[in-house]
Amino acid sequence: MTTEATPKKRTPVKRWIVLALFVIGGYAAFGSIGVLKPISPVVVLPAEPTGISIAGFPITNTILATLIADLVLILFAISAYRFSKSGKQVPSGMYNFFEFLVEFLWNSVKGAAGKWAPRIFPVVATIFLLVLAANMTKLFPGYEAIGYMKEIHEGKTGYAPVKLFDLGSIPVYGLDKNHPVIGAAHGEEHGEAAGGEAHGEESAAAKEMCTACEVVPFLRGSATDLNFPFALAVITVVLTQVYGVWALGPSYFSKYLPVGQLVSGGIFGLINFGVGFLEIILEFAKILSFGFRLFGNIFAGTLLLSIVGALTAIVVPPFLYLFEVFFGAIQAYVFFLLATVFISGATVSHHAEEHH
Amino acid sequence: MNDAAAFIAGMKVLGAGLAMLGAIGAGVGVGIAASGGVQAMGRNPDATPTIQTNMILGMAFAEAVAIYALAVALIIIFAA
Amino acid sequence: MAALGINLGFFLFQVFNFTILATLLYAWAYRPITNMLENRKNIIAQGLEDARIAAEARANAEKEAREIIAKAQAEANQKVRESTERAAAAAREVMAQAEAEVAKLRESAAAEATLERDRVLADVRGQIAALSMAAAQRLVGEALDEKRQRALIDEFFSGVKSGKVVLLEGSALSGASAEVTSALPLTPAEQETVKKDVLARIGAQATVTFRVDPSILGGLVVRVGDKVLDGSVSGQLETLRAALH
Repeated sequence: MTTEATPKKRTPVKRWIVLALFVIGGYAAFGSIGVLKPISPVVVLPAEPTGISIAGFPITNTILATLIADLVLILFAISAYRFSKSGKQVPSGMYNFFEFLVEFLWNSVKGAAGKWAPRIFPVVATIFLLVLAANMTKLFPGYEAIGYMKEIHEGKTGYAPVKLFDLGSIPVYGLDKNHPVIGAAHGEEHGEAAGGEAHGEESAAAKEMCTACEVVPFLRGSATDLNFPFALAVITVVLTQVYGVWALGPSYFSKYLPVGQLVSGGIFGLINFGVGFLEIILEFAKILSFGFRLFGNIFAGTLLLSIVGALTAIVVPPFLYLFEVFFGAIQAYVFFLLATVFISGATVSHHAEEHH
Repeated sequence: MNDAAAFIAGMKVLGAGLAMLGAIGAGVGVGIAASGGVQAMGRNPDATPTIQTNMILGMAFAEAVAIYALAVALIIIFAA
Repeated sequence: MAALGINLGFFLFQVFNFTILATLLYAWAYRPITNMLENRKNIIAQGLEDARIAAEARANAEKEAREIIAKAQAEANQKVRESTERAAAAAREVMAQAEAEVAKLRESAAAEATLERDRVLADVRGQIAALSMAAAQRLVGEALDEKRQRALIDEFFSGVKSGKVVLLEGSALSGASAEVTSALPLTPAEQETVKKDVLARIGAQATVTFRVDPSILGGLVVRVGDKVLDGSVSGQLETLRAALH
């Protein structure tokens, strides 16, 4: 205890809350009814449709998650816009953090790209912020937990649904871990029934309840869908070419087709011509490595979280969550850094080096 | 599920697992890159930003091998 | 590809989404923030420059202030010294003045006391005469003529007999000033007589001062220069006592 005149009586309320949450989590995982227990996930690679569609375009759960990440970023951007209009000098609150991020990125890009930094910055910064926002929002509770229930594929193990309560007119089901059911052969898919690890929703027009159920979540991390990282990878690689042509003109393509060296360089010219083909292949390899790096890390992380969460519901998952926060940020930074290096490298002429 | 289908399914999983052996090399490569980077930063702390960038770049290229292995494994399991 | 979830529609959606987001962020965040960062850098540079100038100015001001303080201290010390000296001088002066005043006061008080005593003695002279007469009457038992008696007493006290100073007869005196001492203050007429008699002997330009000394009991003591003519009763008593011994 401090020997102050008025010693503050610190009531460790937060500590007790955390402890209580631990106890509740332990009870839910091991001692309670099956509906509270975490279930093993069903590994699905493609994004699943949420049932919503806009103008005939089905919205998948990863698209929904991407839109949420967009929304977060746009809120930050609006705060930045309002701050810039307010004319204040001292940043505060939410905007302060955002400005810290942007300043960090700006300094990184400026260090790597030099005078091309202002043109490259919007692309690579958006890549970083979007990947970061997607990776962070996907860690919120509710992602990959709330969805509708579907009859599981034949031969896999699903769980029996248990009705919990009615949310308005929509009945909410949970999955009972104590009653695993092997999926039977079935011709048609039962849809529309809702469920979740803890709770789910069912559309009012529930036709037929599934017996061996899996949950199709409404939200799933954007980067666990290959479309998202590959879109970013393709954008990066395409923009690399665009910036190269912008900076160097048509001579940029001499990297891929070194015709001049073929004429003047003799046998080494021929070799360099072959290297040019390799460069072209390398660009496609870049797309592949960009896309699969982000996807692989995030998908593996998500899988790890849900599997370990199903095995040991307490103690271990919090550390894995921390690990995921770290990896989400690192992957965003790696994607950003590689994009910056590739794009800024394309704006620098290769002739100067080759002639020496 | 007849025997042939079960055999194919089992071999797919086995193949995917074998494909992921490629991650060993990537792991070693990333470790070497990190070790070299940290040593370099220890010797010349002023050059940390440059070293860090190049280290991450090198790690990314080393990791690419593991990523190809992952891609192959995923394709074996889901697409083949 | 479809098994891996890659779908042209979703892929294009992501590209489209990225484009829109990049545009929005560029307009709302990147441009304002980078501008602001540049502004802030300039402001900070300006501020640092200002601070440097201000620090310099402050250093100068501090130096000046130190100098001013030192000068002021020297001046103050000087002033203090001067004023201490001045105060000491003034104190000495005041003391001297006070002493002089005290001396003057003492002198004047002494003079006043002498005057007062003389006046009182002059007042009581008549009474003393009356008392002497009464005592003598009682003593000799016969009533003398009162006028004669008074004349005798006056003669006793003033040593002046029928307009002549008895003491001076047959003596030669010379000097610039004469001091005449009587037991009781002389009346103005007697003084005039004494004065005229003394001046007749030592010269008209000499000054004559009168003193009263009751201890001589009666008669006059005249001092001219370094010569004293003692016609006082106490002197005669002294002579008598010497003769008796």
